Amino acid sequence: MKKPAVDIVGITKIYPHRLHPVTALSNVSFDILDNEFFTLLGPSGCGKTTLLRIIAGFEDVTQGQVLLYGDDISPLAPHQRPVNTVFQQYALFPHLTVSENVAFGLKRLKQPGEQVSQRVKAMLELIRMSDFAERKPHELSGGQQQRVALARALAPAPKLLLLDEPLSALDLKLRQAMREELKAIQKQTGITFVFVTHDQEEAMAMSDRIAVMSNGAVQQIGTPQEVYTNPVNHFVANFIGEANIIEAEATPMRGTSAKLATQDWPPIRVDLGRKLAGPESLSIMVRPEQISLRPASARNKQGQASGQVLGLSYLGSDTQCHITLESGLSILARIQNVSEELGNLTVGQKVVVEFPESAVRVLAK
Amino acid sequence: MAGLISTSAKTKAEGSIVEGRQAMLLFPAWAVIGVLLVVPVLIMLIYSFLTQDFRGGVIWEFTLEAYDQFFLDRGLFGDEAPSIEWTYILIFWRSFLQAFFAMIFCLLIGFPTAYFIATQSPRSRSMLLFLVTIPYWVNLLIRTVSMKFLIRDTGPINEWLIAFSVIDEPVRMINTAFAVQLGLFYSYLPFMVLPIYASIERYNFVLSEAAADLYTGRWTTMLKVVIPSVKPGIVAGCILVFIPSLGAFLAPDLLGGAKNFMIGSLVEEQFKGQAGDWPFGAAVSMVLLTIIMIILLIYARSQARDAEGAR
Amino acid sequence: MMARVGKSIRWYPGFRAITIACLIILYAPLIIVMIYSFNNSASITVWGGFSLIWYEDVFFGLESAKFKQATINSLMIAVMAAVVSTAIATSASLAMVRGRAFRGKALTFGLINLPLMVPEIVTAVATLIFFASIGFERGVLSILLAHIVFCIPFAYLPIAARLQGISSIYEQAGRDLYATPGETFRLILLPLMLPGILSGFLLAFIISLDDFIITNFVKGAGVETLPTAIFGAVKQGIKPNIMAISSIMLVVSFILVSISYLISHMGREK
Repeated sequence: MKKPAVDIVGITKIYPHRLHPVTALSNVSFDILDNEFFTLLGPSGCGKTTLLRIIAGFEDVTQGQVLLYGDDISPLAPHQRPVNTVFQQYALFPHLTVSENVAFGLKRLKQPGEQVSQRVKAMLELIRMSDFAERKPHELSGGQQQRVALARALAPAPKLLLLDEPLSALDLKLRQAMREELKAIQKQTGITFVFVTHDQEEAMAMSDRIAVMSNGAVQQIGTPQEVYTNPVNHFVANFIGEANIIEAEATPMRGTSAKLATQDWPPIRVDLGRKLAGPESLSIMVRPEQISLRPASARNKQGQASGQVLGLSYLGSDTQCHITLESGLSILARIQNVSEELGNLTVGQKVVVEFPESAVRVLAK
Repeated sequence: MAGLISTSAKTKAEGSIVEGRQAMLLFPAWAVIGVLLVVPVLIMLIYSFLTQDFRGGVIWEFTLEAYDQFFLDRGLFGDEAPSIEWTYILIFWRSFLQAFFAMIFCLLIGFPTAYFIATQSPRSRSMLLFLVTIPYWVNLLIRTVSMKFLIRDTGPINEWLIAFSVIDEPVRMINTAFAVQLGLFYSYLPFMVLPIYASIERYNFVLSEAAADLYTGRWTTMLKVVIPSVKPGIVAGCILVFIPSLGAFLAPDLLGGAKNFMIGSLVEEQFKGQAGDWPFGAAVSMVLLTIIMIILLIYARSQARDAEGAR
Repeated sequence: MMARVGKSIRWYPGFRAITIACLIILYAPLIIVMIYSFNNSASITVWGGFSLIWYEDVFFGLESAKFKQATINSLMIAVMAAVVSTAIATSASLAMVRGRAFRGKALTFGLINLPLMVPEIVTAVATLIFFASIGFERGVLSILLAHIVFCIPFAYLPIAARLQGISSIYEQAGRDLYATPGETFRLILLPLMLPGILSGFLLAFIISLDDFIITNFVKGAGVETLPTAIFGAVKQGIKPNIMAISSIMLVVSFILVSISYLISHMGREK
């Protein structure tokens, strides 16, 4: 089996303080595979940036190791690690031109002059800024500075490229364009990328796998699809996309199956993947786009979840519907505008809320 | 009510309260500095072209005698062919060297100090800066006298060295070029630390991280990233030490003795008592002033050029 | 696995030591002088025990009359120079900070800072020649006039800095409520500027008190200020009473600078 590119082994990071020590990371372990676009995703303070800086060598660990292709790089100083970083603030050297910035790492590695110039030229072509070689950073726009920062970090052909929320300062359209460019460059160079962001849409669009983090721990690692369709717990379900969380009572059935009773809907059958000992309370999740709505007729069948439309948000390609059920539960539904389902849905209208059994996901606490 | 509004039309004008009064407000400053500094310098310029009156003061006859005397030696009777007068040129040269090395030593000690202070916590920073600045506010004369007291043959340093049997005879430190260096360095060190500190405070340390990320060791980072970014502060500090050192009087006079004459001592000598050569003193002062103004002009130009470049 | 004990990216070996050395160099001569001013011995270098005899000598000894007169002169001149230069600096800063740009504003700024840029010895010579050429008698007045000139930029700096930090909306509010420019200045701006003005006053005071070179040139034969008196005494040889006087001046400077610092910082917190 191929060695993973990066091995995070039991990393704990505690910031000491006389009264309130802060635990930034708590026994984090996982692998990152070769040539993977791997994203650390989470809200502010979850530890993703701390972990990135630990890999780069700018922070010490309280416990644990970082292995790069099998080698323990934990004792190495940052300038000794074959790892390069694209900083959030770009950190281009203001007194050097674009080409001098891109050449910086190569010169420090004592590469021969001719080779350096060739490489710089190739990098500038890669980011399509060959005409800007002699400009200074302050003459460039935000997006251009970001591309130069990328080229500078790629020039020394590192074994690992770290990107610390590089797109956060760009406006929407530019950000979306850069996402595609970054993804393409990663595929082209074959370098393993470790990307940090708090933007879940960005993570989903670019990553091969995502590690969702919160409070210093990894909640779930998986492909964007896995993480979205099968979130393991409340946090992941709520952080990635929108989720409707519904409380249910589970009673065991044959094998690993269970019958889930909810307040508003008829009983649901799921396979829990484990044998239930007895009745158990748990949460289930249904994604808004799985919800379907029907106008409630005067004669409602028993066991139907009916409620009132509280609000409608027109979002262009779809409409977000906020419904309050008679039981008081809040439901979020997302209906595509091209579908006929909406019809004349209005605020205040009475609707029936339904979803297929296959859409139900059971969450761990 | 109505009356109040109609007569106040003028007082409710837009603009600040100094509108239209700027000239009046600036007049005192202009007058005082103009009459008591600009005019005197101009008169000094004129005096440098007058003839020395051996009874003290000047005779109002125009001549280039003073400048002539500065550069050339025409001998006692003016019959011989003029040869270069090295004495005064030597004094200027010595002053340049002293000022230059004072600047270098202040840089060597001042830069690490400024860097260290700038990388401490905000509270430590204020305290350290305060500590570095206080000596400046102590009278320069007293500071120089203190230094003199310290390094004399019979001073504490020699006493302690002898007491601890490190040496047998006192080390001659006073009345040497070294003493003058020490005096200049001691006088103007805070002037090097403060501007450098100000520049480093504005430096973004993420650039140092970027350099480390790009395989740059600590000292190379200092050389290739920190120092270029902090250059304005370094240049300002160097100028603030070099210029006063060039025209210093107290350090060479109290610490250097007769053999370590500098420009300041030369000038002072011309105006002591009745035997002074005023035009010559004025000429030397003019030369010093011109040199310093040129340095400042070059500095101002390079600042303006840097500001343009950054746009 | 033990974590690598890393050093921060800002740290450089030896810099802390150099900083400490720097502070020692700056303070050692002063502290030693202060210590020896308490030396109970006629010999300046042999320690004879703690004593205040030299301080007594300063106030009551042989030369005390000379030093007393010199101190009175110094204080008188310093107070008057500080008052006048602060007033001029306040007036100038109003025009420079609150006034709109005008032709010659940069020149004016250069002029205000000119005393700082011209080397002291040159200023001293020029002033001396000036007074001699117009037949102005050298004495306390000539010293005072010379001091006012170089005190102006020192007073100007904190005042202008303070004024910059005061938003002009208060003046606008005052004008809106029918205050004349004079009243606006007196009742609104002046109180707000006060910390800066006091700070500038103190700075000018200290600078005037401390001045030697210019004073020495323009004072004429009969007058002494404290620095020139000390210089004259030093020329005859360093005696312990000089160290006592130096220590006193040292402490006074320190107190005044600290007060100035506190005032300007207190004002900022409001």
